[in-house]
Amino acid sequence: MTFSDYLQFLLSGLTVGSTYGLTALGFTIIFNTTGIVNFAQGEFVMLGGMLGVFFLSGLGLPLPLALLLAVLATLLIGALMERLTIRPVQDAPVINLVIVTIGVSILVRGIVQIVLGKDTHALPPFTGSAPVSIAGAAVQPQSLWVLCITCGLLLLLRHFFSRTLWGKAMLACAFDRKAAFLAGIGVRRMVLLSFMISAAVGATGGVILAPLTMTSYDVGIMLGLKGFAAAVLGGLGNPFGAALGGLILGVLESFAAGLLSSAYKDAFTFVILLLLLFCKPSGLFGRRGFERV
Amino acid sequence: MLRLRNVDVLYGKVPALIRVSLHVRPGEIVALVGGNGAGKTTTLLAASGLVRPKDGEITFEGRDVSRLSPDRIVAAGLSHVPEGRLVWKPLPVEDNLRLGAFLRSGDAAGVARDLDEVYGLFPILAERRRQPAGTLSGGEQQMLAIGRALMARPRMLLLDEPSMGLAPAVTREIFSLIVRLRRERGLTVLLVEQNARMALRIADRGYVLETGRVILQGPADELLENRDVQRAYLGRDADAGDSPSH
Ligand SMILES: Nc1ncnc2c1ncn2[C@@H]1O[C@H](COP(=O)(O)OP(=O)(O)OP(=O)(O)O)[C@@H](O)[C@H]1O
Ligand SMILES: [Mg+2]
Repeated sequence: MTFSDYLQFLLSGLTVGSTYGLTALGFTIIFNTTGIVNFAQGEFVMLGGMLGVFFLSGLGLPLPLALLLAVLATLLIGALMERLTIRPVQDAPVINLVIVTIGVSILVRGIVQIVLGKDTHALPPFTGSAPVSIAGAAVQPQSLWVLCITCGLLLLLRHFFSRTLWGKAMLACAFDRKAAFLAGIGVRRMVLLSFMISAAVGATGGVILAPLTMTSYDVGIMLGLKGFAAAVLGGLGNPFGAALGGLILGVLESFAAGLLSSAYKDAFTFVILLLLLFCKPSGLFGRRGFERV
Repeated sequence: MLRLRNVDVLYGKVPALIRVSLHVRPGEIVALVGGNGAGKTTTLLAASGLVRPKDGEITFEGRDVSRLSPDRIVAAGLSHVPEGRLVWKPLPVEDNLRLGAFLRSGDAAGVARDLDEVYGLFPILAERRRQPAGTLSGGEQQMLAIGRALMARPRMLLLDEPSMGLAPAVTREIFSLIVRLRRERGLTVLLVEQNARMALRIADRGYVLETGRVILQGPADELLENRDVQRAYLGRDADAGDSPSH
């Protein structure tokens, strides 16, 4: 093993970890405004990739337009999901709502399987596939796209939550929902918004990763679980901890696959998750005493 | 200004309010007193749309608000300072205040002016504007909760146990502020208190609630003189000290 091998593991880990991170971010945004763990989050990632394929090959649209449409369509699906399945039963206990999201994920997977088929697809890379060499490690240009877009998205969301009134209002719903109602914040609208943002963030993750890892109707299950693990790792409720959790998970996985065996890659994630739940249930970056309502 | 008529509220199957009727006229301070679990908080929550009455009528300035969403009720001019303050602890003081004006986000100049005004009322909040609200003392959090409600430019304020857990001196400060808000801005106030003596001293009229029913009502000074009220609600807080008068 040389330095460039390690660098290689690191970079490919960060690339895959970006998608875990974006999925995890989606989990925390919805969890923060509603207390719901949305198990359909992985399907948003799948929809990004699969709809991208559909708009590109099925409808023959140019790549940038197809990807943009895929993200927007998923955003709409997120809004529909909230309107049709969450809002009508919003006063039910949170656990029931979590089960609703599991139902939605099965439904979405089923519909995509019927409409778009069971085949595995790949999106073309955004800018060619000739590897770039960085300090001896061969890097796909798509990896750089993934890292840059993920960073960009993180900065954008950070700005949204820490600088804008709407972002702060969404946080206020998380910190104290009753107070948010009484201050005149449209809590229902914030919940809708959180589903839309989460869906768009998830779909973006799906769209940028699909050129590297292929996509099919059922990739959402594993991505959802990994994203959830990352969110727990980072401390559910802390968006940037979650994103960081995703990156850490991706890197650990990549090293485990490279140094041990890729057969253990997935099991590895869940061993980490279990260990963490035993040792530090609030997550690596979880705020202690973070109050949920 | 605010009127409840024969309001029934149930939590599940358990009645919390039974045919409660009360009204508050413009510019009045009305005290709503009663023991633990009497239904005081529930009355305020019904007025601000967080619990729905099963029966009865709630009007604010003549308009039926019993089906309005909580944010529409705030927009109509009725703000609620909740029991326990419920400030957003991780957010800075100033963000708490700005979010109080969430519905007026189009009116940046007005919001800035009101922010200055709230800082004028509570200079301590101006000093701590960048601190997370959770780091404030109980009294400061109460001021923040009131300031946040004022940021919505309400014409009427519902105040739920502002004195809870505060030292007598701080309580007096809060109460004299309530009197001042009424005098300077014509703010109408419905004040819920366990500390019945202090509440009735600044109020014009009062209602006594017991297990979900209004059992007594009248001018505040008459309630203060009332034997039953004295026995049930005024006995133990006789040492509450001087309260500001109107
Ligand atoms: N969310 C709830 N679910 C079920 N029962 C409730 C709920 N909130 C209040 N209650 C019950 O309704 C009754 C009235 O409660 P409420 O909080 O309005 O009383 P209160 O007068 O404000 O009391 P306190 O002085 O303790 O604040 C009580 O018996 C209480 O136990
Ligand atoms: Mg109460």
